[in-house]
Parts: sequence; C-alpha cells; structure tokens
Amino acid sequence: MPARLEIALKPELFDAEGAAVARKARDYFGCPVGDVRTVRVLTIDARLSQDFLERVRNEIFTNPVTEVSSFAPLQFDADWVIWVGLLPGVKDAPGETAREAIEDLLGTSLPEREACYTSRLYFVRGEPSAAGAAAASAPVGVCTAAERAVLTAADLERIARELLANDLVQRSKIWRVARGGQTRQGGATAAGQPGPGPSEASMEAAPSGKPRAGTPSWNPETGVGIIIPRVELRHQPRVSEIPIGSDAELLTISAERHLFLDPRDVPAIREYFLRPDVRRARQRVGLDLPTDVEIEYIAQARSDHCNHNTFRGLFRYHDLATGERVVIDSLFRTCIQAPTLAIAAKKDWVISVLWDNAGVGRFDDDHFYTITGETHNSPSNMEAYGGSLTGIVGVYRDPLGTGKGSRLICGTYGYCVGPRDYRGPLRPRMHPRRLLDGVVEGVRDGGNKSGIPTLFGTLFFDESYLGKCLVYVTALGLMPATVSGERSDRKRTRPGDLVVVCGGRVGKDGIHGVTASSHIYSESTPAGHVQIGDPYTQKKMHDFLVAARDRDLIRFITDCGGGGLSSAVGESARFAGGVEVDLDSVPLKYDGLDQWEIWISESQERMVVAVDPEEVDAFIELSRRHAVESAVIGRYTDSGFVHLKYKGEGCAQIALDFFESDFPQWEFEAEWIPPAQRGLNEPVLSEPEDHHRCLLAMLARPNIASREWIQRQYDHEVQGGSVVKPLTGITQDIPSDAAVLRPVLDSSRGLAVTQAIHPTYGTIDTYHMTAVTIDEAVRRVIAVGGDPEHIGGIDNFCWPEIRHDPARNPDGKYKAAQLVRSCLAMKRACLTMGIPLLSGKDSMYVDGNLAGPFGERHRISGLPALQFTTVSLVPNIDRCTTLDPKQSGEIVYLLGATRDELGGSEYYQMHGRTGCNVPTVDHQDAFAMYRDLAGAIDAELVSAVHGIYRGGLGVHLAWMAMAGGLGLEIELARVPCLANGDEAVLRNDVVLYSESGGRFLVTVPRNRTRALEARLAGHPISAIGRVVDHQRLVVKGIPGTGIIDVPIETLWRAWKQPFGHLI
Amino acid sequence: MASEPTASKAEGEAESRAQSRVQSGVQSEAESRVESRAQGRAESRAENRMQSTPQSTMQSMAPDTQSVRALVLGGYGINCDLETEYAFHCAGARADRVHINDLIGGRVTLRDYHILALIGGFAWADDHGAGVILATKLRHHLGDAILEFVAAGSFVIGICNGFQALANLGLLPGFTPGTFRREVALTYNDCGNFRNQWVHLKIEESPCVFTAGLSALDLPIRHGEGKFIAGPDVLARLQGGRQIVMRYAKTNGEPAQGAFPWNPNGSLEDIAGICDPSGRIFGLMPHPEAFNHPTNHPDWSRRKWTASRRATTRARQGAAQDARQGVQQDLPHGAARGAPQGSLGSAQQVDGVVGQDGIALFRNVVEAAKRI
Repeated sequence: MPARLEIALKPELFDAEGAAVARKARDYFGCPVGDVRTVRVLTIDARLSQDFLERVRNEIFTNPVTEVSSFAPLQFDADWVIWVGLLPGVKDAPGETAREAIEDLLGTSLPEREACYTSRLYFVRGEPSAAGAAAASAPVGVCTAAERAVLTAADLERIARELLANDLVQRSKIWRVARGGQTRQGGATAAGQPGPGPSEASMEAAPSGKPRAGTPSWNPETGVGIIIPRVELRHQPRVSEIPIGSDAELLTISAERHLFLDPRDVPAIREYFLRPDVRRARQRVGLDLPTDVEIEYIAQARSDHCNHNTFRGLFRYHDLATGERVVIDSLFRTCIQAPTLAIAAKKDWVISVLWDNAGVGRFDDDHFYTITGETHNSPSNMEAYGGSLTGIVGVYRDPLGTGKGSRLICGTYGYCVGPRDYRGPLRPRMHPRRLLDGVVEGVRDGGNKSGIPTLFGTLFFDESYLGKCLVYVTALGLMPATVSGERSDRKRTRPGDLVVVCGGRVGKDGIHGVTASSHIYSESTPAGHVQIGDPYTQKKMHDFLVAARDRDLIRFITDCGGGGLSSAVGESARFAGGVEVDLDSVPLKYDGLDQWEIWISESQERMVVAVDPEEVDAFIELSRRHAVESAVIGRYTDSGFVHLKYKGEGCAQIALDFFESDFPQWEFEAEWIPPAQRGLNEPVLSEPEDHHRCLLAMLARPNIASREWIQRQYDHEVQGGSVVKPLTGITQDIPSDAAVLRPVLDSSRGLAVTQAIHPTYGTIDTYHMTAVTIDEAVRRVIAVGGDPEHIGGIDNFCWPEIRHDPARNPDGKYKAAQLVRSCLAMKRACLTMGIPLLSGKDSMYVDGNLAGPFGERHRISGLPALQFTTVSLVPNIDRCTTLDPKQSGEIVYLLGATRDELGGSEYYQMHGRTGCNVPTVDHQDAFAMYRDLAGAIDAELVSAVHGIYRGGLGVHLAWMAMAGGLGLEIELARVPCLANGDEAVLRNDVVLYSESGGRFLVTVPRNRTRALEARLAGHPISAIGRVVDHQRLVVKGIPGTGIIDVPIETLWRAWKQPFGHLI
Repeated sequence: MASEPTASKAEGEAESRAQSRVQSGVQSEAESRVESRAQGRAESRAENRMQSTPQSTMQSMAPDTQSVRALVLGGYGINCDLETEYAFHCAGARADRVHINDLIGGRVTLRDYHILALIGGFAWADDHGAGVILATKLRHHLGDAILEFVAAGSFVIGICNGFQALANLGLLPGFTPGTFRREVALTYNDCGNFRNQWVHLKIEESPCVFTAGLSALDLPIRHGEGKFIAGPDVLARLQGGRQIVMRYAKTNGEPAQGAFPWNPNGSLEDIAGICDPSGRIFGLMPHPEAFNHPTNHPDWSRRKWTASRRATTRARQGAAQDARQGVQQDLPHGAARGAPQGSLGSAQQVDGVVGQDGIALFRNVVEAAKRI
C-alpha cells in the first residue's frame, strides 16, 4: 500500500522557501500574497509495514528540532493550496536518494517496481487587507481569512504556472480552502500531458484537461491524495524496417519521426543501403531494409549538432560593396584547425587539440589540464532549470572523458537573455526573469553539488534573446601527465576490449535532443528531450572513474552526450575498427523501450569506458564500492562495422566509414553589406552637460550593474585553491578581470580563466566584434598575472540560422557573411597572438517564433554571439594582481590608445542608438604591449591592473574606485587619444565611454613609476591621475574643468540599484 | 614531455609500502593502490597525493608520519576531501581519504585513526535535509564504532555538511556522551539561497581543542542550510557549558547580532560552530580547509601591497611557507577586517597581512592528538 509522508518546518520557524515564493508572487505578478508555507511530500510506493514506515519517518525524514511530519495530511492556515509534482518519467533525483536511504535502513533492496516520488505542497494566504491591517496592524498570521486580501483562482493559476511549475516536466493542482467544510476531490489544472508513451498509475481518478471554472475545495481529510507518477510502458520492444523506395518516402518518415534529416543526405543514405556489397554484408547478419535503429542512428550522427555541418560547409562570400568574392571550403579547417595546428607546433605546452572531448594543455611536468566549452540553449529555453543543470553537468563529462580521464577543477557560465524587466508585447515561453532565475539555479545546483568551483561568468541582456536564450558552460579538468608511465592524453580502444557503460540508466528522457537543438524553436518541437541533470549520480561516477584511472583500469573513456550511446560507442569504435553491442545489456530505468531508443537516448550521467577483459572484474568491483552502476554491453572488434543486437537478433549494422565519406557538403551563400551601406552612421549627439548623472546612469545599466547575486550563489572556493576570486575589492562585489585558481595545492602555479562576449558590436561588424572580444579575453588573463606565451582559447559560437530562405530567413545570406567575417577575425587574432583554440562549439539556430499580441508570430533571431574563453598559466600566484587600487599616492596609468569608437557601445545603447564606429584593436601592437605589461606585473611594478571593457573608461574607473574604496583623481586631457592614427583631442563623453580595445588601467606606487615607464616605453601610455584617500571619484574634463566629483558610495548605490535586492 | 618517475619517488614508494604493512592488517584502498603500483603502475607524484595515497603524500610534509592519523570520509557526493586532506598534511598529520563503504565494509577501521573528519559537500545530494541521510547511514552502520572511537578520547571535526551530519547524528552537542540525540539543527538560510561568502568569526572561550589560543578568524562559508537552531533550554545549556565555539562577527570583531550579511544565514546567537562538553568533537559551518594558503583570503592582494609599505614582506612570505610546512606561525594576529557586502569600508582600516589561517584549527588538533 503506498504511503504519503508530509514534512514541514515547524510553524514557528521561518520558511525561507515559502517567503521567496510569496515575494516573487507579489513582485512579479502583483498578486496580494501574504505568506506561503511549504510542505515536502514523499510518496512511498512500496510494501512496508506501518512500524517500518514509522521508523522511516522518524529516523530518516524528520528532524525533531525543526520539522513536523505525518502520514496524514498536514494542515496550515491557508486560503489556497497548490501541489506541484513531476510528470511521469521526469528525473526525480530526491525520490531516488529517498529510496536509497529506505533501502539502507531496511537492509535490502526494494523490488524494481517500487519507488519513492517527491512533490511539494504550498499553503498560500492573502495579504492582510486594509481593513484587516487596520484592525490588527499585525502580520498575516494574526488576520482571520476575512481580514485578508482576496486571492483569485486566476492569481493562483498564474503562480502555479509561471512560478512553481513548468508544464513540460511538472504538473500542478490547486484547491480553494473552503471555510464551510466542503470536500471535493482535486482536479488537475495547468497540467502537461505525459510525454509520448509513458502513462500514469494513479490511485485516484485524476480528471485532466482544461482548468474548470470552479476550483475544487481542499479536503483536509484526504489532502492531495496518493499520486504515483510511475512510468508504465505497456509496449513490447520491436525493431521495424524503414522503406526506402524513394527519397520522398524517406523524407516523409523523417518528418513523422522528428528526425530532421537533411534532404541532401537522403540520397546518400538510400544509396548506402542499396549498395550490393552492403546488402550482402547485411544479409549475413539477418538484415535487409534499414531498421529504425539504423535510421535513427544516422539522423543523430548527421545532425548539425554532432557533425558541425555548417562549420564544415562551403561558403561563397561576396562583398557587395567591393565586389570581392572568396570561396571558403570549411570554416573549421580554415579558421580553427589550420591556425591551431600552426600555433601548437610552436608551443610545447599544447598537448592535445581538435580530436578529444576537451583540449589538453600542460600545467607542469606532472600535470595536464583539460578544457572545453559547450552551449545548452534549446533545452534551457524550454526548461530553464533542467536545461542549464543538464548543460553544466554535461560539460563536466567532457574533461572526465578526455585522455584517460581528468578530475574536474572548474566550471564557468555565460547567459544571454531578454531584459529581466521585459514588458513588451511578445510572449516568450518563459518570461526572461523566470528564465534567468531558472538557468542561474540550474548551474548553481550543477556546480555546487558536484564539488566543482564555478569561477567566472558573463550575463548579457538583449531583447533579441527573447526568441532563444543562450547558455554557455565551460569546464576545466586536471590529470596526471602519465598513467602507468604512458601519456595520459593518449588512449585507444583495441579489438577485444569490453564496452562498459557507467553511471545512470537509460529512459525515454533525452530522445531527439540533438536533432531538436539543430532546429528552430517552435510550438511543435518535441518536449521529450527536456531533462533534469543529476549531479549526485555523476559525482559518484566521477570519483569512481578517477580512482579507476589511477589503477590504470581504463583503456579508453568518453562521455555519453548528444546522441547517447550511438555517438559514444560509435566514435570509440573507430580506434579498434568495429564494435558489437548487445542492446539488451544496457541498464534501463523501466521496461518497454524500443531498441532505437536505447541506442540514441540521451539519459544523463553516463560514460562509456573500454576495459581490458582481464581487468573487468576489478573495474566492476571498484564501481560497486563506489555505489556506481557499471555494465558490460559489448565488445570492440575489427569488423569495420557497428553491429547491434538485441537478445541475439541483429538490429543494426552500419559500416564505420559510412559517416566519413558519403555525404554532400553543405553550401552557403554569404553576402556582406558594410555598415555604411546598411545605413549606419554616427548619431548626432552633443556632449552631456551633467556628466555626474550620466555616469550614474551608465553604472545602473543592466549590462553594467552589479550581478553579485548570481556569483554569490555559486561555490567558487571548493577544492581550496581560490587565488583571485570572481568578485573582489573591499566590498567583495566588484567583478574581477579573471579568476585564478591553484589546482595543485602544493604548487605555486595557477590557472587564470575568463571569458568575454560582445553581441552588440556585431550589429555593426562581426569582424571587429570578434577581434575585440578575443582581445578582451586576452587582456583579462593578462590583468591577473597570466603568461602571455601560454594562453589557450575556447570559441563558442551562437548564431542564428544562416541558410537563406526568401520567406523564412530573408537575411540569411547576410548572417552567413557575418559568420565568415567572425571566423576570419578569429583566425587572424589567434595567429597574431599565438592562441591555439583548445576546444570550441557552435550552436547555429538561435531563432525563435514568438507569439505577438494579435495572434501573429514573430521570428526573432538572436544577435550573433561569440563567447571566447581564455585559460592562461600563472607562473607564480604570489604575483597575481587584482583591480583594486591599494593605497593613496599611487599613480594611475592608462595603457593603450582611445579612439572615437562608440559604435555598439553601452553609451550609445543608453541613448537608443547604434552608431557606426565599432571598437577596433590592432592585435600586433596591443599584444606587444601585453607582453611588456606581463613583465611589469611579474616585477611587481603595478599594484592594480584592470582592462577597460564594456562601458569604457568612465565605468571602469568607477569600478576601480569602488574596489579600492579609496578615491581617484583623473585628468581626461592626459588620456592618449588617436584619430586616423594621429594624436587627437576627443570630446569628454567619447573619452569616457568609447570602448576601444587594447586598453588597461594600472596603478603604480610612486617609487616604481620610472621603472614602469621604462618597461612600457614605445607603447601609448600616460599617467592620467592618482589614487587619493578622500573616497571620491574626481574627473577633470577637457579643458581642465571638473566634470565629475562623486562620492564612491554614490557610485556604488547606483551600480547596485538594479539587482542589489536579489540574493 | 612528461617526466619519468625519479629515483627518489621510487624510494618514497618503498618506504610507504613499509609503513602500510606496519598498519592494521585490513586491506585499505590505499594499500591496494600500493599493490597495483608495485605491479609497475607508477603514477606522477603530485596527482598521487590528490588520490588518497597516504604513502606518497607525507614524504616532505610530515616528519613524523607515525604519530597522528586522520580519516577524511568521502563518497556519495561528499566533496571537500582533497583540500581537507591537504590541510591535515599542512598541520603535520597523515590523512587518508576513505570511502564510507570501505569503512562500513571493514576495509578500513576507525581504530587506526586519531581524528575523524566529516567534511563539506552534498552527501546524498542533501535532498532530504543537509547531512540527514549521511547521519542515518553512519548511525545505522557505524554507530557503535563511532561511540567507541569517541569514548577512546579521539577527535571528530565536522565541517559544513559534516557539521550538519554531526548535528543529525546527535554527536553534537553531545550533552549525554555515549548516546545519539538530536538537539540542534542547521536549517535553511534565512536569505533563502546558497551563499559563498567570507565571514569574520569571533572565537569564544571554550573547551574546544581545535580553537585553543585563537580569538578571531576569517573563513569562507558555502552553504544553503547553515542556520543554527536550538530550543531555549538547549541554547542555555550550550552557553553554560561554554560549548559555543565561534560566532559570526562584524568587521569590528564583535558578534553580528543577527545582522546580514555578517551573520550570513540567520543563526541563533550568531552561532557558527559548537563543540561537545569535552571539546574533542567540533562542528562548524565555515570551511577552515579552504583557507590553507594566504592567497585564499579575499584581501590578500591588497594587504600584500599595504604590508610591503610597512616592510613586512618577510612575514607575508613566511606565512606562505608556514601554511605549506605546517609550522606554527609567529605572525601578528590580524584582527578581522575588510567589509563584506552591505557596507563600504575604508581602505585605511586594512593593514597588516592576512591573519591566522584555517590550518591553525588542524594544527591544534594534531598537537592535541600527539599528547594522548
């Protein structure tokens, strides 16, 4: 008999979770919610005695100091009750740990069918009404129901739908608490339907469908009832054959099955299966027409997500202004592979690039670091929390699956979303505020619960990301340079090695994730690919695999990411030359999965390992000791085929070389129209009269203001090696240029990590956007003490669709040209500064179709974005520099020239303008200066170093002033300025807010200024002011009159104002 | 290219194998590693140290490896094992990272250790209350062994998740030795979210051996459930028995009196850590192991520059060395300084170098363990 345990904080204790719900309901929707009490519900679907259940309640799930609990419904005074639970088949990690705990107490395992499910109840009360407040002038608790504001059913539905539950993964129910003691059974509201296949076993009659006019009344006797979201697939797994009589037939099937096969691939697929040699080989294993397993497999492998068809495509670039025409055969080969290999040949610290799950660099003689970056846009756009959680936990598996496996040491994040206070007419699936909350929390739980410090991040607001948000995640790992005397970055599978899958089990979750992310978001996108990552399961697996690596039990390791087993096993089989897999050996969450689903499911927290048969017992035994499930599912061969069987029957056989040879290259037309021809020009804008208020307004811009609340939720000190924290300064809230960690605790070396992103420059020219973005990422690591000779880059492109379509994507050719220009700029920047691209990722469909106010739909393309991550070696962490001026009397220097480059700047954006003079940088000159600055940092000539980035000199002087808590006196007339290559005098607002690249602010103790000037001779540098102790920022304009004189505290308040209330 | 194992490393391995044999006859994870290494699977020294190998880690750091041994419990989502192991090493102890299942399964026994460390992390993901399932597991499988360990005069430290587990286990506040009784709780932060932030701590007069001789400390907190709660009677008893070891403090070093963010979670009486009546069992929410080097302190760079003006560079460098060598620092004790979020301090307040680091707590217990 199932039991339902309800647990709540004692009524006299503050319910922080409930308070947050109440506050958001008031702030976001204006609902007059007074307070909310939360109740945790644990439904135990197991045959257990009453006595044992009581032990479970008392010994495990109830803290006698803080909590009350009961197997009967708990009651709190309330006007409404909301229940939120997961849909069947959605990952319920707390339910699984509850089961573990019960099994541990029981001393034996529960039967497979039995399980625990978690859900939540919210008891909601209205605010004290005017009358109630006047009568009682006291908090909600003292008011009777009559003295409280009336919350309507619509209020509650909004709270349930837009705050508490996401109908892709959850469902909710709402009850009105009747005073007259009416009892009616609860009805479903705002309920999503279970995904295709899973059905629900429920003890109650659960009416579904549309919300009804009358909301049911709460029955305190029965409460929420017993709801068991168990998946039951009454389905016999079977393999079906796919007819391939014609291209049209296969394309129809592709559409029906949501395969998104590219029409150009279809003839090649048919041709393969009709080849006589292929048919003969297939007949030998009992196969004839292609099976659904094979077609699904091919669709995964050929998706843009897995295969990077766009970056490997042929681009015909045409500059419409100059008439110049260029053909580029593969952006990947031309702009990523070629420069990286050329640089790697010159830098002996580059260990492994361009083939493994992450790039590998040398940390010291005994250690390599690994690094990669990913995006997780589509899933996050649909289920923000689950999407970003799955994203960060997923990217951690890349370093873990690099070489023989590396231990994770750092994660970073980047978000591009719509404005947090968006009030426009478009209706995105989730309001940007909720979406941002969700992605922030997903990365929080993913990083914190994995024990991996989340060290750095970016956040960029722009309305263009209402269509689809961007979620970047980056991960670093560390591994010994050798395992058993062999280089740890080298690995291969050998015929005879066993295929072992470790970690989580396979379910329906994550089917078609890859093909969906290679497509534009619309209402018909299948929701089945939304997942909720499980850092707990993965942390156990991570610790186990690192231990297995140290025992040299791993021949080869790779992660199960996009495409699931099909991708992981398929790619690892290339080394051995073939593989044979028994799909019925794959551990499943529940019965009833078809063979193709087992092969391509993207169920999370899994790795594929090749293990020597001699060592498999030791491997499995170690796995058991770490409480990790590992299963042998096949064997590598040299047959030349991926051969899949299910209970002995062949269900797929694909030649390994099929994916490498037989597909047509994608082709793109790219047409570039220079900014002036597009009608961009400089706005006619006079200098502000009130520079003081102008600066404060700039500091309060959402893309400049303090986002401390995000970083503060992220554990950035676990593993004990924090050197430069993401937030610094005397208030510990000013963003550092980069974070530095000490990954080997008894070493004085460090790693600096940072990232940069500048989508608005791309509205003028993506070439300069990319040049300045990479320059910024380089300056950021230089600023904290990174070695300019050891900087690695990670390129993460997020672009709207670039394929031209006259109706659907009329500016596709222009977007394609933007991509070409960005890649060319990256190539040049990397070659000039010697930056190998250690890893990278492209996500090509940042578009959404959003509902408008009149039932029309708008296609919204996100601004093209390149997030560039840099990692740099810090030779001596004691020499690291931070951005806070250290003491009064120090001299402030500006390094690098300022030009009239306000195009795409925050300043122009504030005025609603774009401009045309996009920020630029000369990498050659700039990098020569960075080298000399790095020497000055190492010689301890500078006490504070800070790059000038978005917002320009004015904003970054303010940041430094706030960080030091001292005071700065600055003369703009001393700022080195250039116009057309010559020294020039620029207007005060241009000097203050231009975003020209290549610039630093440094502070220098008086007795070291001469040494600094000597070291930086030949570069554009100038002493522009000094550090004082009056705690004000004082700026003298041109010609010599004071234009800003503001207390630091005033700056700080302006900068904190937009998001300072968030925690 | 990667360096080959050197002769000195090979010697180290031989020596450590010898040590392993001296220890108890159980087959520990560490020992099985030694065996696998004996089969020719040598690894790099440094990574080795990070992978729970008592034999290799201790060569340079602990002159007397036989004296004090600490067991750092890991597995099931616990995650501060590497830096806690390192902190013990810095303090001169030999620390082993041991999976809970190896302790339950008898591969490792508590009797071989002087100190048990329950550490930070998310055991069982903290899904049903922080440290709840870990405590259930320990009581259910290791209850007697733990009581015996404590009764024998050994030491227990619970940090963050480990403190939550000690509270749920009932070893703290431990009014009645030899029993498990939950009297205090660490519940959800009043601010409603997980928080990573440095705090100032006022060290109270108490029998706690870990904090002997300390009066103040800066450490990071990193938790979502750190609000200390107990009934009035229990609080009075804690106060009377001087079991309150440390309180969250303001910049001036005085208790925060509940003010956020100095008291980051709303703990009653600003309580950040308590001990049992004997002072040998200690639990705290802040992370002393995360302050194992001067550069961990948020103000280290600023203080480095302000200190250099006072010609105390030597002291700063000394601090860096001391932290690594586990030598007691003779630095002037830095008062709690720097303003956390919420107010603007003045840079003139900042002088001296980073104060006492978190290793001090480990050093104290290692010294105490040597005496028994």
